[in-house]
Amino acid sequence: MILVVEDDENIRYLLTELLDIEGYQTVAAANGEEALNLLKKNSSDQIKLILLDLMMPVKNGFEVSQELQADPVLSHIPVVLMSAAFQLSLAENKIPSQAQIEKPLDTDRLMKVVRQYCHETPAYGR
Amino acid sequence: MTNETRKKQIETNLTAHQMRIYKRTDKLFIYLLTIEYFVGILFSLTISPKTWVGTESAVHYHVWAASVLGAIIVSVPIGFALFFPGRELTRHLIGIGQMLMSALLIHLTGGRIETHFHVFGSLAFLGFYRDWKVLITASAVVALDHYFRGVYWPQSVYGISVVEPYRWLEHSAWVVFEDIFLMIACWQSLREMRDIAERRMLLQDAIQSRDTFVSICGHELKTPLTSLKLLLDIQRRNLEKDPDNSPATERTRKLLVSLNTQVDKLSRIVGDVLDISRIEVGKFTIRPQEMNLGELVHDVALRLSPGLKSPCELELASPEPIVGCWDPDRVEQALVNLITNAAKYSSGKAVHLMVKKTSKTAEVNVSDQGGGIALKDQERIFERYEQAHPEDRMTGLGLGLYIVRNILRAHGGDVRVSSEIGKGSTFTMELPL
Repeated sequence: MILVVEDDENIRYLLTELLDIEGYQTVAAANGEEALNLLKKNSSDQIKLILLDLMMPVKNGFEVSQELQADPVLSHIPVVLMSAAFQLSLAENKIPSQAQIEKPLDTDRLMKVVRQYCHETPAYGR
Repeated sequence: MTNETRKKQIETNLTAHQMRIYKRTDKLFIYLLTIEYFVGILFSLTISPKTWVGTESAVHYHVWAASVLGAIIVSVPIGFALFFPGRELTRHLIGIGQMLMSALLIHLTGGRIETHFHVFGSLAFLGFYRDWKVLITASAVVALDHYFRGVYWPQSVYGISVVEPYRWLEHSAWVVFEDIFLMIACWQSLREMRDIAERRMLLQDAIQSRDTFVSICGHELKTPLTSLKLLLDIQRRNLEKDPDNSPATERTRKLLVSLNTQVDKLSRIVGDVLDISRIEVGKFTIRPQEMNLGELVHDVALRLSPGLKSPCELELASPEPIVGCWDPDRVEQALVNLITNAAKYSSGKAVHLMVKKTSKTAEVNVSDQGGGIALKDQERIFERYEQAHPEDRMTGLGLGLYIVRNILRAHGGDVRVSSEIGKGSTFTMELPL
């Protein structure tokens, strides 16, 4: 399962839709706090990858990353950052991540990264 | 800007302006005092022997006074002007020094009335500071000097040996007379400078608002663009997974490709505008990582070629791969910019790309066979909002080369152009190894 953390409703929906078409199961969160609650509460062992936006209300990507790093289990989940270029450069050396993808998103690149870190067999192909 | 910061900005601008005037005037007085020093010595050698003959014993005394006393008088203000330019104390010391030089010159010419005009000239000169307080200090020196010498050594200041105890008042009155006008001029000038400072603040405010607006606008545009792009990609993937290859599907696919091109174009414009606003506030950053330049140029050329009006020819001048620590996204952005530019102006003839290595840099040459760029335009085209041919103003914002230059400079490299009218242009990207 892939966790999509993105505050813009439309982008969040489209990302889950994209991953769904490509055969991945997803769970979505609208801000950092929601994401952390989701991770801590139940499905943390099922989540294989986190797609993380940086600029979000309530808790932003920087804060989420900090809390992830402090947790012995969650800190192992690979993270892909999605944001504007200059925010990605701010995140450098601050947020450990497996990949950084600039917005507007290049979906070919995104899917390549997803395939790399998410070996989960697609639940269903169309 | 809030009212508080506006006021602060006005004060900052005004102080900066005044400081420029103070320093400039300090410098002028270094020259003036030096000249006066030598004129003093000249007077002691030529004029004073004639005027003082009979009452003073020897020429030597005046030469001595001019050279030693003069040196003492000018060295203090010149020293302060050299080492503490712009300070308040410096200009008051210059005011004192300048007036003591007047006194010395008057003495050397035996109290000639003509030399007294030097006092008025000096006051006007001190007015350059546009600081009325300096005029007060200087005038006080004049008054005191005339009073004491008038009482104890009248021949030195008025050229007569009879003591006239109130004559200093008449001289001082004329000085005050001039001071009044100079002070009015100082105050007027200060008012005007405050006006300028305020207008400057308004300009700074407007520029800041523009930058903020452009930045917010760009980011606001980015969100729907990201959605649009995702939407298109999802639709494309949906179609790819659809085994049914009906003519209608084929038509939709074509439409999506066309739509995608337009969205990409829009993304690039928004990206350029955001880059500009970041360059403006000095927040343009790069994310360097190890990369192979030849490979990148090859990939970019291959990817762009189908969409260009002129074919791309690539030549690798280096036998081994050129690897360095650069930002691949930014280098690609610069390259795309130069290649599309070259193709636009090459009028169908091939665009030539060459990648080579020098001792300290890696270089990519992008050459077109277009009309070339006149020498006078070759620096201008790298500026913001500029184009080599403003007549086709409709194509592009004139931001491309400005961004290219900033990308390369952020890497510690640069971009340059060599071109001849009628023979095409070569743009060279230089990246430090």
